[in-house]
Amino acid sequence: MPLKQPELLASDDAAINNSQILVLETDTELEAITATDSVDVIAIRFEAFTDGRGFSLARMLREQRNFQGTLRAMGDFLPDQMHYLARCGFDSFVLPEGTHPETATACLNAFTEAYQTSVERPEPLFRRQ
Amino acid sequence: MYVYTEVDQRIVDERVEQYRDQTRRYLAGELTEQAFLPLRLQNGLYIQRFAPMLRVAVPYGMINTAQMRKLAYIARFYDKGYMHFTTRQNVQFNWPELEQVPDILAELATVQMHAIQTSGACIRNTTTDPFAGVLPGEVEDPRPWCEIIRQWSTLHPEFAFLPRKFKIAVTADPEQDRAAVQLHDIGIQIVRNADGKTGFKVLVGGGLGRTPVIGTTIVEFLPWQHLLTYLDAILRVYNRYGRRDNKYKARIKILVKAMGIEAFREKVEHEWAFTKDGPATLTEAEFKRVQAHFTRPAYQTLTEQPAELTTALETNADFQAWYQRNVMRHQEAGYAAAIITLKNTGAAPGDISATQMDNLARLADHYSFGEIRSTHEQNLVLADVRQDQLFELWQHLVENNLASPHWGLLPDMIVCPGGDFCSLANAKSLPVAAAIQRRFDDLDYLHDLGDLSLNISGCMNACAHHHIGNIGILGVDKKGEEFYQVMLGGSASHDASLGKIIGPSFNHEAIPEVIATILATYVELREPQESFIATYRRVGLAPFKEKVYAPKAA
Repeated sequence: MPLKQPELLASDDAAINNSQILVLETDTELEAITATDSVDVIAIRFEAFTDGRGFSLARMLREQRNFQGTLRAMGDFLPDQMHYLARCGFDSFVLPEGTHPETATACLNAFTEAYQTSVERPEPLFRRQ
Repeated sequence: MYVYTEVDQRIVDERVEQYRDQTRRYLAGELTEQAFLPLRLQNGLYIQRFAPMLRVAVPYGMINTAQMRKLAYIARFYDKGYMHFTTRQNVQFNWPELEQVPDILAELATVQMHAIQTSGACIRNTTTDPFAGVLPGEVEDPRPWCEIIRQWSTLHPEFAFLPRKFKIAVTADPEQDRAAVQLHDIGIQIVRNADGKTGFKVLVGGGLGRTPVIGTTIVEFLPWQHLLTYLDAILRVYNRYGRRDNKYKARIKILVKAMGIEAFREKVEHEWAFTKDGPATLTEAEFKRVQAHFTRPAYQTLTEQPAELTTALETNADFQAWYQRNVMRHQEAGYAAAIITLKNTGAAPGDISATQMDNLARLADHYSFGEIRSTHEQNLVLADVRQDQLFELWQHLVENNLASPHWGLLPDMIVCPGGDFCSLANAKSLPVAAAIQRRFDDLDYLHDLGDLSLNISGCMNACAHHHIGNIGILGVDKKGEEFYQVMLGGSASHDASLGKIIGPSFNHEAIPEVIATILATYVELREPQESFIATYRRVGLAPFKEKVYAPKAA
């Protein structure tokens, strides 16, 4: 089952500012976020691609807050991380400068299956087999 | 042994192709050095002092003979004809070409092997007791649980960029812990409760390295169904709150110490509440499916101590010496587990040549149902050998220089590659090990000393676990010169303890004499049948220190 095709944006894309956006840092505490019902887009900004906190924060927004809007990754991440990011609930990416959309799409679809539960597949492999 | 499903195979194959493309993009200049670094590390590729080093996962130490032959082929074709067993049951090739690594990974995938997450700030290979499934007295076979953890941890989307590496170990032996679970980020002891139900005692925050810590119990009894949701909760708290500003303070042990176990447990329970009893809860069907891969082999009905064995023991003293040290009892009558120590003077501990690997595969096919296990002490085990064939097997091992009768004795040291290979090392470790092995080559003396572990690390990253050797040696740099700190009293078992430094460090020429003095002091002070560690715990550090630093007579 391929991942849902997410929104791929260039860093100067006007769409970035079109909607009501809440921008979070990766270390934002979930308890400190109050506006999840009133925004269309939540963006998590990665200061460094090695910062895995944003992966957990995305899942917590989706799975604990049931956030249904657009969840956008921005800042410093690698196209090679997009498959994992999408599984953690991101469905919009502001591509780092110099990233070919084809590279991003290929990275996004690197795997056709996964063992764990994740946002796009809430059942683990062992319950789907 | 676990056999891949179509999906398991597909995931590994897709990983190879993903990495092939990442290597291509790196070589084409499309991926920076900095971006490629975590990608190659999560496929086991380090850049070492002289060449890249590729670490291949051996999940919980299980290798079949097709895999061993493939590793031998890779050692010959892509490397310099040998391979190295690590202290986490994995294997390493020291001289592969970066450009050829995707091809090596593709070769490995054909025998259901991979290098996924053998390095980098992610969940590493899960390790266990090398006698799992054959050991009398184990609560149950831990390997199905290890495989369940392997699958859960493999390409986990949330935990690939943790503050630091993360290691999990499992044991099911209530008597002796051969997996050092108290010294892992998460240690799991399989236990049964009063109702006979299986569950886990979970420890968290153990580890070695610069700040050695013994793990703390976070839950006394976790019912088995909740294993993965609970692991997810621990990992999430670590991923969210573990320090990222200083890599020497980034392991979970530092977080647990800083928060305190109660506060840490509270956070974990809070996260767990969201997923407990949810879809990731393990099912009986899934456990049964995995467990079915670890059935007992087709044992024959045999008797203990057959004539072939007793006669050989009476007539061959070398065989007897090997049998006494290197053969373990077995659940099944008439069978035994044979340990092959990869500690031959002159060769680096844990090293094995391609020829030895091929011959060992042949022996495992003939004598042990085609399976080989690796141990965290850098040795190998043939777990299912008929007692009436032990003598035959031993003769073949002798021919292949694989029969040193040293298991658990002084020469069976754990030693990291050290300054000869590793760019992190402060000092060489292999020549120190060789000097000790040369000094102590009298088998009668070694047997008289009995159970004794000696671990040598070339720097404080502690790859050879020097803190938990009964005798630990640590290489340190003193104004550009290599010196060695000696510590006593470490243990990796259920009574885990960390060694204490005996005093000022020594240069490498002095080390064999220092060890000789320590051993002589033990022999002088011990009570009948008392092991080195027991004597040390009774008398303490002082008498050893006094002898080692006593002024030498001119």
